[in-house]
Amino acid sequence: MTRFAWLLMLAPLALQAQLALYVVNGGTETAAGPTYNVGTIASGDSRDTRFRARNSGSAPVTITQLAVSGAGFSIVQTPSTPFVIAGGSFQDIYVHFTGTLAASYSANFQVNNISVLLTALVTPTPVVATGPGCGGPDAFTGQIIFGNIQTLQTGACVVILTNLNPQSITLSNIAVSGSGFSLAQILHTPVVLNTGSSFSFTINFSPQSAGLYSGTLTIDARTFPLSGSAFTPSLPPPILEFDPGLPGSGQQRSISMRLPSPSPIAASGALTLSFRPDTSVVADDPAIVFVATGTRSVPFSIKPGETRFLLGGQPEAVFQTGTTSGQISFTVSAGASLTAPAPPAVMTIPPSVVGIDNATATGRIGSLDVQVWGFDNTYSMGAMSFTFYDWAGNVIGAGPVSADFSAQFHAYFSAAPAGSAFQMRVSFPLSTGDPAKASPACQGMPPSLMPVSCFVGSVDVKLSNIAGSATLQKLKFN
Amino acid sequence: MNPLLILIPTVLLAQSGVTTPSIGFILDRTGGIRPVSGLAGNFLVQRSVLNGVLSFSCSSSTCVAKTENALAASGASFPAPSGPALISLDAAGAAVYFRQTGQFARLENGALKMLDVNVPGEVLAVGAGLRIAVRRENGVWIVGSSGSILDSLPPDTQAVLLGSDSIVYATANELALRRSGGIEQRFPASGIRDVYAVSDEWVEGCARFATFALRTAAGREALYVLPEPAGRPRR
Repeated sequence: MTRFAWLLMLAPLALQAQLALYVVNGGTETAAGPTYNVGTIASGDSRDTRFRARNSGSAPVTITQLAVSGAGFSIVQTPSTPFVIAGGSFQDIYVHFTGTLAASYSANFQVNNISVLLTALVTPTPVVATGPGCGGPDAFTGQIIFGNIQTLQTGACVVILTNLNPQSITLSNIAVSGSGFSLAQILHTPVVLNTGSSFSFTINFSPQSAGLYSGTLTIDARTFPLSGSAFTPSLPPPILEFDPGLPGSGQQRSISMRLPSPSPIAASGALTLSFRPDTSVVADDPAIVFVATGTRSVPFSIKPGETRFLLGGQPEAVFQTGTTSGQISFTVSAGASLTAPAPPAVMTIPPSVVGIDNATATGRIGSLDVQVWGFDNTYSMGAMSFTFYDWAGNVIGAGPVSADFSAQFHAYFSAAPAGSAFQMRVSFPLSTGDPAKASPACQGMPPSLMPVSCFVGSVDVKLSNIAGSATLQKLKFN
Repeated sequence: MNPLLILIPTVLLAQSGVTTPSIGFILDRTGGIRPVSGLAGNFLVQRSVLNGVLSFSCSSSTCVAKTENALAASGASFPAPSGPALISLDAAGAAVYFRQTGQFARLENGALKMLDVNVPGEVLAVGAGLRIAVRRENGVWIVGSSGSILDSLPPDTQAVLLGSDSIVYATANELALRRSGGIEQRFPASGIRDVYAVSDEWVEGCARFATFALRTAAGREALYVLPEPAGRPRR
């Protein structure tokens, strides 16, 4: 009975002992002892310490006494007393400390009957300010902001430390961390700042790619968040220009590429061409290529500050116009950093009469051969006529001899690998003429050895397609 | 009185009545001989038909190519001194100069015959009649096999091709065509180091960054740039 009475008397004490005080750092609780050192704090800075009053018993505990007494210390973000902590639960209590004067500080922190002596040391620190190239530090967060700069460029931020304290300050550590941020120069520490003196250094922000960047400036015990962002600049649409001259088949032309204003960046990509033929006889013309590559693409590049692109390393790119009428379109590759797609440049190759590159007329015994090298960019040739002249310049026979080789040419064009370029030979079987009518140069030759050129001097060749007719006049026989 | 009876013209398809026009053959940077078809300004460079070629020369009817240890011509191969050779075709055969051994030779009638010719200086080209372009301390000369001076070229001549009726030579910035009458035409072309006969009417000029094609036909002289063989980057 007596023993039971003692237990009843002790019950309230047992309940009270269930309240314990901890310090929470990250996710870790550490029992708060009779003293707790808040730490070393730079003058003007503040620090919050998170305590946790935990009720490990099953009965609720009412907090009736909660106070911190001491200069610079205060309780923040915590319910006012009285408040109840249920059994098995806890309540976090935040103690805020700020010190403006360099000195040692202490305070008594009381939670019901738990008492903890809090201590803190405030050290003198310089005033931190920034010069050109950045902003801050923010009054609340201390953040120094570099702003939004171009990738691969460097933003320089001057940081100025001024000692306004009545005593000198020795800084033993000034460091910068974080991707993209670095000190512009090596700082030799310790740095001694006498009263009223200043010290400045530069932080570089050099982002390699677009995005958000963060870092930290550490000055002894103080840290300042660094922030910045980077963008990839883009080019205005390039201007594509052809060399002067009327477009046509069988040409080697050039195209150049420039910007309306100096390029803000180094850029590269590819200029490509495509071809759409007018005819349905062929789907393409393989001769239409850039000569520098032999393909339909040529790399381009430009350096910052320049307006002219290099195409295949040259100021301009030469390309062949082929032998097919249609449209050659030039486009800048999407891989280039462009604000907007560059409008394609188009060179229209108009349909034209048969282009004649070379021609020969050869007289042999028993036949005449007319050879023509040329192209028909309409793929419609075949009709032709020949007017022969004797050695004295008179038309032979009734006039032009007509022929139509459209089927042969269509068959050739359909299978030819070189666009419409062709070499044709037309033979004319002949009977032998009257030796007495031979040219003076052939007089005296045995009639059986007289070539037809003894009788035929020249020929007009007329080649027709849907664009018109091309005529070779007085092609001399040899 | 009409002296002739002209019959219906016929395109001789079976005898190449209509064909793809041929420019000739070129030597590419990798030592491949490539046919070139098309027309002036509209070239199509075809796949290589012979590899391992160090130098060559073509007329419109035949080609002679020098490989490392042989001279190839018309399907035949002749053992020859190693290294490149200077080759010049003419109506009867080809004049050859083997650069590494300094030997002159004549390829004719299916035989390669070494010649007893010795010309002081750096031989730049050989031509028909054994004309020789040679660089000496006092200039670049065209001499006969006996050493007699026939003509001269600019001192900065880099490469020479001696044709039967013309000379093509390259200086640092130009490709020049000199006719037998002494008339010259010059075309801007930088860095040509070698010149080769592509056919009777075309000459190839090989520079580091471009391959030029000079048309030498009278009245049609012009310089073009040949498309690089597709898929092969420039070196």
